[in-house]
Amino acid sequence: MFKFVLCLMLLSASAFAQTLRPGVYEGSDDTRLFLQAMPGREGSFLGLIVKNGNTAVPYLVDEFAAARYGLIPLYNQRNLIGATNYTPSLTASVVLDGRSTRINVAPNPGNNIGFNQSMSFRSTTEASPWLQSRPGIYEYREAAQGQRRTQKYSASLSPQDGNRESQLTINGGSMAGSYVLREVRPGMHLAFKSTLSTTGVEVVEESQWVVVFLRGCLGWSNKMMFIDTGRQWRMKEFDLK
Amino acid sequence: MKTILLLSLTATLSFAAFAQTIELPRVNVPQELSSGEFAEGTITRLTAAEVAEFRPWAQNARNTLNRALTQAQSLPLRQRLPHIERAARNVVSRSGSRQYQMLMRFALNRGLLLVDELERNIDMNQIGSQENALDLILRSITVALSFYESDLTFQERAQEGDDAIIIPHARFATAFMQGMYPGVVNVLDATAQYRLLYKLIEMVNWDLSRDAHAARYAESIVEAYEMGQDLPEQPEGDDRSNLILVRRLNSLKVINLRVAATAAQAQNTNEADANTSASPRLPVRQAVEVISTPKIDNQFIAAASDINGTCIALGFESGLAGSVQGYNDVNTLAVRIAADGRPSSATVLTQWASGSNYITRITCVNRVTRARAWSIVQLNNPVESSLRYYHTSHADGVCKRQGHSRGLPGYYSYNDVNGQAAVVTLDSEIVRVEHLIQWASGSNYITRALCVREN
Repeated sequence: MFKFVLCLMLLSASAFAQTLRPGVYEGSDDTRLFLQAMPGREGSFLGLIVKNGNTAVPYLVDEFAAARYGLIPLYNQRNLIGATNYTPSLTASVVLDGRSTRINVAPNPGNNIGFNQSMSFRSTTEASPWLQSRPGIYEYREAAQGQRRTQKYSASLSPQDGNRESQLTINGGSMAGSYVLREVRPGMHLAFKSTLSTTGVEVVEESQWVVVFLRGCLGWSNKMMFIDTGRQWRMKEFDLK
Repeated sequence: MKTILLLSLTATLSFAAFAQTIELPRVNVPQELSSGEFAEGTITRLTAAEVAEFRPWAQNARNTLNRALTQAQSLPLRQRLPHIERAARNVVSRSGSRQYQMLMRFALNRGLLLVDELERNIDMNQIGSQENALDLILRSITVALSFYESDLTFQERAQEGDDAIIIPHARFATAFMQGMYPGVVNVLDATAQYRLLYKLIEMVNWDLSRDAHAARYAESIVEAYEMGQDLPEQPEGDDRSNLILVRRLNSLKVINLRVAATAAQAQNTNEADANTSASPRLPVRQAVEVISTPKIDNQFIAAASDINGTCIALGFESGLAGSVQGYNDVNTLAVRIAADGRPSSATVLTQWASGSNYITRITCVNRVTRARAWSIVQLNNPVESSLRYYHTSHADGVCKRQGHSRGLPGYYSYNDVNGQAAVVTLDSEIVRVEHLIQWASGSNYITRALCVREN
């Protein structure tokens, strides 16, 4: 009898266990999970969890058992986007829930970088909105220090060149200036502040920003997102005009 | 009585049996290091004429690498890798046919070997591959520079006829693993990651096995050796299989030798030195010290600090590459220490943000007696003629008005009272007085800030 029940439990578990797919997953508490496949690492993904539209953490999502994944937070390491601690900070189990897929996320000891709370996400019909880059004119709103009212600022992004670099100019606000964006992971960029020296030589300065581009989905417009991986994962959204 | 005798005999026999099981395997030198482009050579003890050549090579190497690192920071990104790689290759090739078996050269040579392996196993046009190569070279340079002094000392002592000295292979192995491992796991391509991890472990195990105190690392050596025999040297055809292999390698003790092994090695070196230090001319010892949650004048130290600078500020000669551990789930001020061992102009507020957390553990090398020429002063609710300081004030200005040398950006502020606050400039001028409005965000005043006082 016991063997029969165990067998039944295993069968039912395997029937409901799922593998992850690229796409958009919606969570409670205004959280969203974006997944895209990771080239050169079949079965793994690059993930982005966005909360309340103002906090975002990029992850490497590695499969470590059937329907079980580890989420390793990635951040700006000056010359690349990576981690120094490859212990996942979150684990995720994937189950079939009716017609949709549910991802249950829980904190994992050994790494407390990024989100440190249980979350649950449900699949949507949206394909992965993750874009390599999207040139154009962007807008973002920001309140000046000491002010409540926000002001609108514009930014223009050039197409990527052969070195996977694009030039970004932000015309006002706290981030005003010229930047070089370099794609160092698929769809993930490092932002370097660019200035010209007195001799006319371009000098770039490392930052803590990671930049991603998302196609409009679930009510969001096309976005360029600046994530400050050195300061509480704060995110600045730039909307494509 | 018979029982006791029997028991002790059994215990003795089992101990003898156990002791026999720790026989070290014969770990072979990795093929690439024994011949060809990346051969490490066999010259450990130089003649007087060779030392005369070695010293300028080492000094030139250090200068070249430091200059390349500084220049690269402001170069356009696409030019960084070739610039740094050229510098590292020049240093290695300038040792010519001598192939000095010095740890500084080992680190660079092996860094280039790992880059070569990366290029063989990955399409270098793939996104991120250039950055991985750059990261590996930068890491190997950091490890190399940390061995500059010990390489020179080694040769000087050898010249003085000291036969008791030994090359600290295990210490190098530990530093190399600590320094390079994060660079290898940041290669996310599964095929390349496996191959690089395999080579890294192979090289480190070779060093451990030839250390004078190899027996102390027996468990790690045997485990890594057996795993190396069991696993394929070349990656499998599919990513999932390679990731499984990577996880097996990641479970090895040799990955986490880290500080414990270094400390053990340092102790060994000290013991060896103590036994042979008849001459006062041989004071150089690589004594490492692990420091938990170091503080300077009661302030946390930002994890983004320069590791050597931090150890200098803490009263040591240098820091051990890769030994910093940080903590990031509290909100507090932390001082960032620059490479010169002084507070940099960046202070950080830390709250579960990677890159802005504070150090919970660091390993420093060789404690020295040296008074710090500066101190950190914390200002609590600073006021001046009943005026508070408005939060947009310049940190330098506020600190200068309070009688200190300069300020560090970053502060705590508070905003639930009505009152007035002075706005202070860099030159410590009060430019205007702001009226604080209760509960209005953005109209707050500084409650805690950090200043530097030059002694």
